[in-house]
Order: sequence, then C-alpha cells, then structure tokens
Amino acid sequence: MKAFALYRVELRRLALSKFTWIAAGLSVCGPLFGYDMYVPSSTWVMTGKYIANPVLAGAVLWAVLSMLESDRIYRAKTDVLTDAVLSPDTLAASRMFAVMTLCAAVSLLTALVYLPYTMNKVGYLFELGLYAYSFLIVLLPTWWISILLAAALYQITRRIELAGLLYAVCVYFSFSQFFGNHYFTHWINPIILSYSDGFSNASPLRITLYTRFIWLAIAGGAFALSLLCMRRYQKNLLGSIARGVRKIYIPITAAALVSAGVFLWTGQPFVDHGPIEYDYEYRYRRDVGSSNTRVSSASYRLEPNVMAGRLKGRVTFDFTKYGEGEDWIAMNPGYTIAKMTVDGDDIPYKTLIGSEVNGERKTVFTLPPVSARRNLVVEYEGFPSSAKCFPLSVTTEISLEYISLINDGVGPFSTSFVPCASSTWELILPSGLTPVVDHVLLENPEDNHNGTKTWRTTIYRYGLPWILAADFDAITFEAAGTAVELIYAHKYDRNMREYGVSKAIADVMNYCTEHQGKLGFAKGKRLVMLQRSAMFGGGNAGDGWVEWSEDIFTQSNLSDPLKGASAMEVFAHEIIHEWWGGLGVVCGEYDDPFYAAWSDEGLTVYTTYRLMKEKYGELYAAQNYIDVWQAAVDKQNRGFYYRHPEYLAKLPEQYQAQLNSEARETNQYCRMPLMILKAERLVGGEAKFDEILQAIHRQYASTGQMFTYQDFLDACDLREEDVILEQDFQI
Amino acid sequence: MKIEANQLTMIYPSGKKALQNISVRMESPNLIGILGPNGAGKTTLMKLLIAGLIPTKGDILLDGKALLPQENRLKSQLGYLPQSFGLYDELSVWQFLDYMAALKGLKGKKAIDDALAVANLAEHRKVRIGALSGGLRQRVGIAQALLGNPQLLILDEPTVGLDPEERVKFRNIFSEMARDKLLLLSTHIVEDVQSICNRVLIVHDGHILFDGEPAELIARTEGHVGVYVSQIGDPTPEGCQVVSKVNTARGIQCRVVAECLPGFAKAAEPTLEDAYLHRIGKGADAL
Repeated sequence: MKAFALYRVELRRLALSKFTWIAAGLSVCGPLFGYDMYVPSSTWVMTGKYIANPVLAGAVLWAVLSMLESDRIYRAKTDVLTDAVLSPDTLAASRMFAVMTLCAAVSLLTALVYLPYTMNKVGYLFELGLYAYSFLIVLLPTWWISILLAAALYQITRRIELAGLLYAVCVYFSFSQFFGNHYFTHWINPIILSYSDGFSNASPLRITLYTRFIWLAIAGGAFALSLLCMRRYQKNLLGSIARGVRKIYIPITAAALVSAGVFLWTGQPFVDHGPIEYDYEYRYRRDVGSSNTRVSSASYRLEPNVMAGRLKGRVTFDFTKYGEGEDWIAMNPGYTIAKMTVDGDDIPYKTLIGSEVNGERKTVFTLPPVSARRNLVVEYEGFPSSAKCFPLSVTTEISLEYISLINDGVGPFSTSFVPCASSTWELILPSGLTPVVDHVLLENPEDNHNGTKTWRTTIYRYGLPWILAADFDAITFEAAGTAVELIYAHKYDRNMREYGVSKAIADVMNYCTEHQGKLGFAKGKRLVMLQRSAMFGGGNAGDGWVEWSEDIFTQSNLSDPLKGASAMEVFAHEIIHEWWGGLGVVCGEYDDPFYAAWSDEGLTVYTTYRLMKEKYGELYAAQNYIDVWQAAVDKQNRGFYYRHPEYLAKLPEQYQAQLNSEARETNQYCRMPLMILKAERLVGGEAKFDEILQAIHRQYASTGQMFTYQDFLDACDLREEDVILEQDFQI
Repeated sequence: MKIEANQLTMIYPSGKKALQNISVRMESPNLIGILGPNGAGKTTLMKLLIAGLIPTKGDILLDGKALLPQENRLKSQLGYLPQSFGLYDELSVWQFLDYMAALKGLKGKKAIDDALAVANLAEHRKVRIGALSGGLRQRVGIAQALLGNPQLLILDEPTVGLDPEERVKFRNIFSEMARDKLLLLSTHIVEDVQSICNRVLIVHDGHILFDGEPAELIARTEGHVGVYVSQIGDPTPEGCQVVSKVNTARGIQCRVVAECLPGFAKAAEPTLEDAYLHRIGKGADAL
C-alpha cells in the first residue's frame, strides 16, 4: 500500500514537471523524424515505412528526463527531507516506476496520434495488431530500457554530466558496427530487417521482443545494481555499496536480472551459435556421394508448430550400402535429432556442435553395410536459426500466416549419400495456408478436420525443395507468347489488379523478346512468378521461375512513376534472367577465378540498363546504371587488397572469403556490364549488338550448352584486350 | 522514546572532527534545546540522531537497541526539519505535504490537514511552492516535519525566517507538543530555548559543554554577570565579554560576563544568553 502511495505521488510530481512535458511532447513528435531521417526497416513496404519507423528518438529524451529527475532531488536539496523519512533506494525505485508509467502513457498517446495518418498511408493493408505490436514490442520496451540504463548510470556516478557521457557511449555502442551488425547488440535501435504488408511479421516481432527481454533484464539488473550505489550516510561510492549490500534482496535481484539477460543472450534461438566463417565455395565442393550409401527414395513429413515457430519433421531414406564408411547428414543448427533408427532400431549418432559451416550442422553416424534395401528414419524438431555469417537474413520462418523453409531449414540432407532423383513430401499446415513447393502452387489437400490440411507432392530433383506457405492467390496471363502464372499474397490482390502488374510484366517480357529473342521454354511450360515476403529482399530467378520481394508491389512503388523506375530494376532484372540464366542462355563458368566477372548477371544487368534507357531516357540510365557501375569499379580499383593480392593471401581464410565475395559481386554486377557496354560500342552500337545477342540467344538458349566468356568475345568478334577496362580485374 | 548516544565521535573524510567523544541521553517527554556557535557540531549531532550519518566511533541506541538496524522504525516516528532544505516548486503546498505524507506511509488527508492547520498554511494550501515567500517555505518545512504527529521531532533552526508573531506561535506549539514527545531544537536564538526548553545542551568544538536545565545553567552564572557605564573609547575590561551595550544619558551601559567581574561592575541577574556566553567562554577545558 505504501509502495502504491509512493508511486502515486511520484507520478503526480512528474506529471507536474515541465521536463516531463517537454520529453513527452518531443517524443510524440519523434515519428515525424522517423519518416525521413532514420529508417530502421531495410525495405520499403508500407508498414516498414509508416509503422516500423523510429519513434525511438523518444528513448534518448526519456533517458535525459530520467537522469534529470534522478538528479533533481539533490539539486533541489529535497533529499535532506526525503532521506529522513524513507530510504533513498525505495524512493529511486518508485520514481523509476513512475517515469516508466508516464512513458507508457506517452507511447499510447503517440500511437493514437499517428493512427489516422498511418491508416491513411498504409491503406487497406493496414493491420491494427501490427501497429499495436510495434508500439508495445519495439517502442515502449526500448524507452523503458533507456530510462533504466540512464537512471542506473546516474545513480552509479551521481554526476549528471558523467552519466550523460556514459549514456552517449552506450548509444554509440548500439549504433556502431564495432560489435557487428547483430540483432542483440542493438539495444536502443532494434533491427527490424523488414516488415511485411502481405505475409507475416512474426519473425521481426519475435526477434525484437526477444532482444527487448534481453536488454530489459540487463538494464533492470543495472538499475537494481545502481540502487546499491545510492549515496547514503554521506559516504562515497564504495562506502555506500558496502552499506547497500546489507539489503540482500537488492544484489540478488540485480544478479538474477543480469543473469537472465546473459542467459537469454547466449541461449537465443534466432542466430546459430557456430563459427562465423562463411565458406563461399562450400556448397560447390561438398563431399558429394563420398560414402558407399545409395538412397533410392526419400520421404519427408513436416508438421510446423505455427504458434511456437518450431518445426517437427520426419524423414525416411530407403538405402543400400556397399562397404564400410561413415555417413553424415546436415541440417539447420536450430533443429535437434530426436531419434535416428534403421529398420526401427536406434543407431548411435554424433552431432558435431561448433563445427557448423554456413549455418549447417553435421551429424555423423555409420550405417551398416547392407545390400537389401533398409530404411533410415530421422526424427527432428526445433526452431530454425539463421546462419551466423548472415545473421540478418530471415529466410526461414514458421508462423501462423507465413511459412518459409529453405535449404537446411527444411530438414536433414546428405551429400555424402548417392542421392535419389526424387522425394515425396507431406506437409501438415493450418487450413489458411497454401504451400508453394519449388515454385509450384500445390492443389487438392486433404482436410484433417482439425484446422489443418495435409498437402502431398513429389519433387523430381536432387536435394531439398523450397517450401513457402501463405494465403496465396494466383493469376495467369500470357506475355510475349509465354504463359505466366503470378503467385502472390492474397492481401496484394487489389494492388495487382489496380496497378496492372500483369501488364508491367508483359512489357518487360515483350521488350526482351523483341530485342533479344523469344524465351526458349519447352512447349506448354509456364513461367512462374512468385511474390515473397519482404524479409526475403531483392529478387531471384531460376529455371522457369522468378521471385521478388513484395516491396516491388507496394502501392507507393506501383503508383509513383519515379520510384517505380528504380523499383522496376529488380522487377525487370529478375524477369530478364529468364533470357540470361534460367531457361535462357546460361553464362558459365561460375568458378573460373579469372573470369569471375562473367556470369548471368553481366548481360542481365546490361539488358536492364537498356530497358530503363528506353523507358526513362539516356540521362536516367547513365546516372542510375553506368555511373553506379563506374563508381563501384573505381572503388574496387583503389582497394588495397585488390591492388596487392599478395597481402590478401596472408589474411585469415574467412576474411579472404569475405573480400573475394565482395570483389566477385562488383565484378559480376558492375565491371562486366561496363565491359559489355564497351563491347556494344566496339561492335557498332545498340542495334548491331542486339543482333549479336539475338544470334547468341538462338544458338544457346535452352540447349544446356554453357555460354562462356570466350564465346561472347567470339560472337562480338573481339579480343580480350579490346574490352578489358583500364585495370586488370583479376582477384 | 529513549535515545542514548555513547561516546560518539564523528570525523568527516576531510579530517574535520565534528564531534569528539560525546555522550548524551534523551527521553520523552522532553524539549531539549541545542545551543552552540556555527560549526560547533549541532547539525552533525542531529544527523547522527536521524541515522543520516554513521559515527566514526561510539554508538547510538534507540530504546536500548542499536539505531541503524532500527532505521525504518526511527524514520516512521521521526519528524525532521533540516537547517537548509529544498522543496518541489511545481507542487502546491497541499501536494507537497501529500507527497511527504506518502513517503512517511501516512494514509488519508487528515494528517495533511492537521499539519496545514498547525503551520497556519490552510489558506495557502493551493498555492504553488515556487510562489511562496521564504517564511512560508519555512512553515511548509515545519509542516512536513509535523506530519503524522511523530514521536521524535528534530528541528534544526526551525524559526529562522519567521516573523516574530509566527516565531512565538511555533515556540508555543513546540512546547505543547513536547508534553508527550521528544523534541530536539537546535537554534541560535537563545530566547527560544529559554522560553520553552526544559533542558539545554551546549555544544562547542565537538564537545558538550553543558547538559542540564536552563535554570541550572543560569544559576551557575550567578555572580559572573555585571553592568557598568563606560564612555566612548573606553577599553573593554580584561576577561570580560560584552553581552550588550545600550546608549544612555550617562554614557554606554555595558552588560558583561566574566569569570571575575571588574570591581566597578554591578552584579546583575543572569539570563540564559549570559549563561550560554559564559559557558562558551570557558571552553572545553573547563569540563
């Protein structure tokens, strides 16, 4: 009762303070800055821009208020009165609860103030739940963390300027890249990789909520610790601590909270805990078929727990084994094997924790040599994690509205086996989700009459499929003589129809067909275009399919001709891959170190430039393509390790891999398009070059024959030295 | 309520010896005046008694038990007015007293209304503290100390800044309260002590020079107070401390205290002020 009375009067006192009103007023204005000055969300979906924007400016204001109020009692010399009737730590604690309550009230007010504007901007895609969660999960806890930390720093130092300085250092720590671009180091500016308008926001909200718990525990622990430092009996810091620890519940609370924060940090399930190394070549040199085990069939059964974000799976491999030898499977480090049996009998296995490569964890075991077909069953379960080398990529998600299982997130696979060419899949999903497996929208599910449906399919290729599930819609249309199936989130239906997306796709396809030749699909095959969550980012293309992040289809992109032009780049780029890559001309050899610049990307990027030049004019194309390529190449040419590769070889392997990966990207996306542009000019201009490309397309498309860099030079009747830029690009 | 201080020594980190080996015992009901020059150790003694400081040596007992472990109990029964204090200017008088009442764990409005009435602040209850005069702020300070009718009142210079009428009024209030409470009053105004205190402590240079009834102190000064008339330019007789000088038609009538009065001085009836000055003049050596 006394505690409540204390809290009540502190609350009233704060409510009457002008500092509180200044902090509250500026906090409410915070989102105005967030619309332009600071963008936490990396993609421009509507919710990312209008909901994930940083009302976090308030965190600093509340920290300042917290420090001022902590200092005020001493500045006003009121402490001589209050200390005589109450322990200063009790008063500090009640003051902190009062500040946090006011802060909650202001966050509610901020949410209400911006609600009409946000609803208006986001339009029919607006979701009140997401809006509320953004304030409850992202904003409010962050303000609280800031308040607790600032108060703790003040109480430890008892000097407002020193506390302010230390707080600024903590803020710098959160914004700097010094500790890596890591979800968990961003205490004041939580990373919201992206929000999604049409799919699910479970991933960013889950991660943010988790990091908020971590930092609330740590900041709460620091605050409890600082209560020990409250100066009393006119003693200094150490003397006060010596007296303070006698209230044993304070150090116990502080230790418990800090321990909880550390436990949550170290035990987080979102990013794997293995080594950070990324081995770019790993996927291409895995020990394929190294064991004597041959798999004749594989069947998977996946049952996602959409509320917990976990996957329960079971895979059955029918195998034979000729000879001795160790076998292995790999899967996402978030999954653990519950059981491994051969013909019903448990077999020993060992999971190699800490030896993950690219976020895949191996489990080794030895299958018995058998000539008759046996079956190996692996049951696994867990929360899929991101690879530590790409901690900010959210390719895997299991939630009520969206499921994305890619690569190792699907389940165990083994390249040590001699694999089978097909596998069967059984997916048990909530009724509202429709799966797309390897870019095929599944049909005819079996209703389980318990809110779930079972979907079955067979894939006819080696390896694991990409499994997506959402409330998908599909429309089919014809473009440049090709049947196109556009699969997208149901929520985007209005945008897709209102803004004529199918016509925009047809425009790109018509351009490429006209300038570079017709797509070489087998008769009756469709081009599948798949919209994915904004978490995915960018685009991707393959054999008869193209996929984009949803941000390309947002209202602002589709309705703004200027912005649309830049968003069209990815949109068009991925469609053009059907001409250069995918089912079109495949430009190899990917791993050739000298011609690392030569890939599908060069001609795709060049063609995108040509398309934009035609749509928006020469100046636009020069500024947004040629200048950008040149700047990236110039930057690379100036790079120390690029000019001195002998020093590159002395770096640790993971840094070499990282630098090589960056160089490869510049070479593919910028250097090679510049070289192709040079070739275009050398052969006599665009019209002549288009003729050459058409000829190449006729000769190579859909043949499976690799189109090499030398083939390209031959087709243009040019020599290597003709098109090379000023400096050698080898790295 | 009973407070005992045994052989208390307080040395600040700066090395200043504020109190040296003092012992004192206080029991309710009592109104004890603490007199002493600036820097004598009065405020330090009060801070020790409210558990605002920990003595370097010695101990303080509250009802026979060590004070610090009973800090919460002490604070629940304490009304304290420090010599120098601040208030929250944005709050009204009533809101501030409500704030302090909550800190003291008092429920209801009665305690606040009573304190307002005693401190004669009822008509100012809605006025913002920032708008109050110095005297009214002092009355707010007194009112917060009186909140909840505490059993132990420690008041450091409570009547500073009050007009004479208010000073007399508060003096009488303190006197009435002391009928069933322990009240410690530190002041420079000897008249206040003489009027209401039944016991006086004289603190000087960290020592207690006198602990007893004012009458006893006065009695000890009998024969050490005298008056004489001097002219302008006359030196003060050796060993005399002038208490007052009054211009008269015959010259300057001087009132002095001295261990040994000069022959031309006529003995006078000592007051508490004379006695205080006499005792201070003798210093700690006379203990």
